[in-house]
Amino acid sequence: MITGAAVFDHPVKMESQKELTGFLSEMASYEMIEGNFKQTKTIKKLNRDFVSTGKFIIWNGVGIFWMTQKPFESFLQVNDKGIVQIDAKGNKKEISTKENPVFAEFSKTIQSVFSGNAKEVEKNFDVYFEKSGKNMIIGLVPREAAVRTVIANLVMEGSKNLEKITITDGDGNPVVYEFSNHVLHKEFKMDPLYIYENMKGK
Amino acid sequence: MVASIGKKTGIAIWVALHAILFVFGILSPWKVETDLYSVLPDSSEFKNVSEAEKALSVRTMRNVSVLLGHESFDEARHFAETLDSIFKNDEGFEETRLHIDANAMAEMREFLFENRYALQSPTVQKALENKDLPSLQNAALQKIYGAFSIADLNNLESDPLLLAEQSFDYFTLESPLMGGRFSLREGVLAATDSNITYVMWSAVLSPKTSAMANDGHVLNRLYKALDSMKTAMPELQIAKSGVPFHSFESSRNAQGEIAWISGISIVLILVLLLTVYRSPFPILCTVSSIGVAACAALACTWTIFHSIHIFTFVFGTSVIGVSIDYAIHFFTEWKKGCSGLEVRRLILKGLLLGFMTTELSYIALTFADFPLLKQMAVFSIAGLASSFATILFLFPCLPLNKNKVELPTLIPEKFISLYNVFMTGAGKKSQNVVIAILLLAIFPGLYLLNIETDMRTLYTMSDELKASEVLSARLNNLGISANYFIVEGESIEAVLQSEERLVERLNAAKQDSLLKNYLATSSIVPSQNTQGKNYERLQGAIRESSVSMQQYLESIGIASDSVFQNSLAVKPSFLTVESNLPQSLKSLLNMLWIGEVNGKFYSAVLPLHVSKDFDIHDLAGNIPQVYAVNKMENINDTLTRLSRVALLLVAIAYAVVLIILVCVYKFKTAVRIIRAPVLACLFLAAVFGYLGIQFNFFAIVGIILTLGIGIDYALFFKEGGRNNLTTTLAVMLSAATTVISFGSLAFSSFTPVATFGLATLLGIVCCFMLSPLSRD
Repeated sequence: MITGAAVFDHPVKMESQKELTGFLSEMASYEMIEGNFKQTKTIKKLNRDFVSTGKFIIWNGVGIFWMTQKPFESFLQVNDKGIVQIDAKGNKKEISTKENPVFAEFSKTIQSVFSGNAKEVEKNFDVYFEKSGKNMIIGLVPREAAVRTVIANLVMEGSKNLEKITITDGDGNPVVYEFSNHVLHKEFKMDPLYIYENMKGK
Repeated sequence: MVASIGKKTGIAIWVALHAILFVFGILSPWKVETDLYSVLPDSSEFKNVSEAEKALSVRTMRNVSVLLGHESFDEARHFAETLDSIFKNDEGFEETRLHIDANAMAEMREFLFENRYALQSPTVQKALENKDLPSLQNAALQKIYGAFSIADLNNLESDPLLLAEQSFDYFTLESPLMGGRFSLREGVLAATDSNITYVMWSAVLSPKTSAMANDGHVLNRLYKALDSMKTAMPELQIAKSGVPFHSFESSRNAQGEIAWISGISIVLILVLLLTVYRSPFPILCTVSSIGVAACAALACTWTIFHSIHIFTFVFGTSVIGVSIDYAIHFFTEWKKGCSGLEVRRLILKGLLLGFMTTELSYIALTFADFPLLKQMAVFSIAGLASSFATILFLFPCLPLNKNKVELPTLIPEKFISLYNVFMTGAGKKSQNVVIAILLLAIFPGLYLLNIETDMRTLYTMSDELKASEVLSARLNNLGISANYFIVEGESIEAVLQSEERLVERLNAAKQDSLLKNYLATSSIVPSQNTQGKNYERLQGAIRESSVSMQQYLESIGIASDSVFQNSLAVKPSFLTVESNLPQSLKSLLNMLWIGEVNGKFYSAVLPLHVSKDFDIHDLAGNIPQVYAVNKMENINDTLTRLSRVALLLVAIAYAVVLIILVCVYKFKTAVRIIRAPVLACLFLAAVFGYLGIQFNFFAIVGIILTLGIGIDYALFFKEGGRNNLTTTLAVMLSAATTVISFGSLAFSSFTPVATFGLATLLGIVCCFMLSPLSRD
């Protein structure tokens, strides 16, 4: 059994490249994926976990949408145009990627990881890959030293779907995203403007 | 009286005069000013801030950046690293920058955490001002539980509201400096444009590095290094940006061009003088007299002003023009076979009147309220006086050959005969008709004249440099405006408090979309007053909302608030401009904080991406010691005013000259003498008007030169007689040398030089044509 940390012993090789591309292509083949998430943020220094749960939507070409429901409500939308955050009181904060290349880069990277954009992923990360049975693990290490001081690495795990992502920060604190109840849509029709209301209402 | 001075006495007077000047000159500090700030107006407002502006300019005008672009990022980075390795230890640069410190973010986080109670983002400040603690708690909850937050939660117990993280967002992610297209890529700043990835290399020139181009200049080495790279990799794209490149290129081009123009002029003048005198001796004497006059002018200027402005040299060329004329008159008369003292006696009256009238013009300029104009006038007065003394006291003592030499008189004869047609019988009427037509033609041109100096029209950047600047501006997208603010105060605290009042207005203007952002010192180091308020407001808000705070702490799993309360109880040490800041903030502060100048303190506030409705004067209005500055406009206004004042003073001087001439001659003759240079100046001004060329400071220098030199032609014709072949030859030689040396500058591609050359060419030619008419 391959663990998340062990994947970094397996850089992508010729033979594993095909499987990696296949896995990422499978992720990218769906118009839209929605489901539930559980986020566990562990702060080692405080010996404490911060757990939140909610719903997510990964919509190819439109963006990713994150509705945190518990313990506090908040909404995050990331797409090519920018980042939108809405807090529990409905206060909205928008940052345009046009005006801020840092957010543009952040937005592009987040989207590439979740939508399986292999080209973009390989541009920003050193990629590691291992397969154990049906389970596939992808390890990503930011190429940028300065980025590694904030995000040391990412580990994506799944078989048919993306089931878990672990993001470890520069201090070694992991944030684990566990995904469940995936619903895959080959076609999906909804006005993205109403996603927030829609996710809030569910 | 002068005519009776003997040779020995003359030499003694000459030596004494020059010895005094040179001793004072040597004892004075030698300094050459090249910046335009020396010409700023003397209004009390700008007197206070011009020095501060100058300090700011000197600092910012040393920055250069080079973008190295290639389809492959690796190639672009490789060349940027090669460039950095070549110049990293070069003494011509104070520092070079390529790699970004990987720990910069960690350093920033640590700094913001340590100063979280004093230094807060505007959002946090506003929330605390409104006692809106729930909004701060809400923002913190979003960072703790929200998705994809990069907030550092390690210090949650001592900073439960995540104030440091809010500041981190403000100073890094939301910084106006982040608006460009550059992003961090493998440790360097890179941006992509039209499929080319550019890597940025930047540097700061050493304060000792001259703005003027020379072979050993560091930018010369930089150009060579970039050329070699381009040869090695033809696909490499290179974009250079920064004021030093413009100064270097324009001075290099100007130097090269002026060198070949001067070279041709000197050869032509030498050929001309050798043809006339058939001996190198007069030429050697003339060149020596000019050299001595220039040294005397420098010594006198340094003694009085302790420095000399580069513009003074331009103006000071009139010294060369007049000195050469005096010498020509001396040697042309000498060739007739007279002794030195006889020559002096023959030319003395014309020379003396010419000298007095020219000096009067310059003396008038010393009354101008512009230090630069005074300096130019003193330079010319001293130079001319030296030249005059050399002709009067030294030249008669030269071992001159008394044998008469036949001078070439064919051209002077033809010239005189042409004028005699106009001066006798029916020709007199034609003369009046010609003058009347000339006058009528002049007026529309004068009406069209635009007396203005706009420095922007005087400089045309090369296509390559223009394209580089456009690309650099597009990729950086910083949007620094030509308008900015200078804030003044009796203390650092006073400056920062005034800045904060200005920043309040700028924030309101931001809401009205008048600008996108601004850069201010007080955003990095708030005043002690604001830092104190930030801390007290936080303490107050926590005290007043203790129950809500307790609930909040429990919601994030902090059972005891002791760590937080203990840290809040200790009054923090407030930041100052001298505090140890993270590198990125330090660089920004270096750009904005001017510091102490003449006992007061100054800073600059830079508005970014201003709209066309942005009114800098309106925003600065009513805030004491906040000044709206547009450097280019200031310089243009000053030079325009300087030009007008110079013209007015020369006009007054000419009125005095007329009075003197009326005392020496009759009124009608005096008017005839003065008519030639005055009409010549009106003519050249009219030509500028017709051609739609801006009648700028450099054209007016040409006017003053024409007035100074041109009156001598008329005086010599008056004294020597129009039919005197020697006088005519001497004036023709004088005019020819002036036209060759100054008129040739009209062909320069360097606009200020070309304008000066064109004005002098038109003025001298016209003056020469009209001068024979001064004789009855």
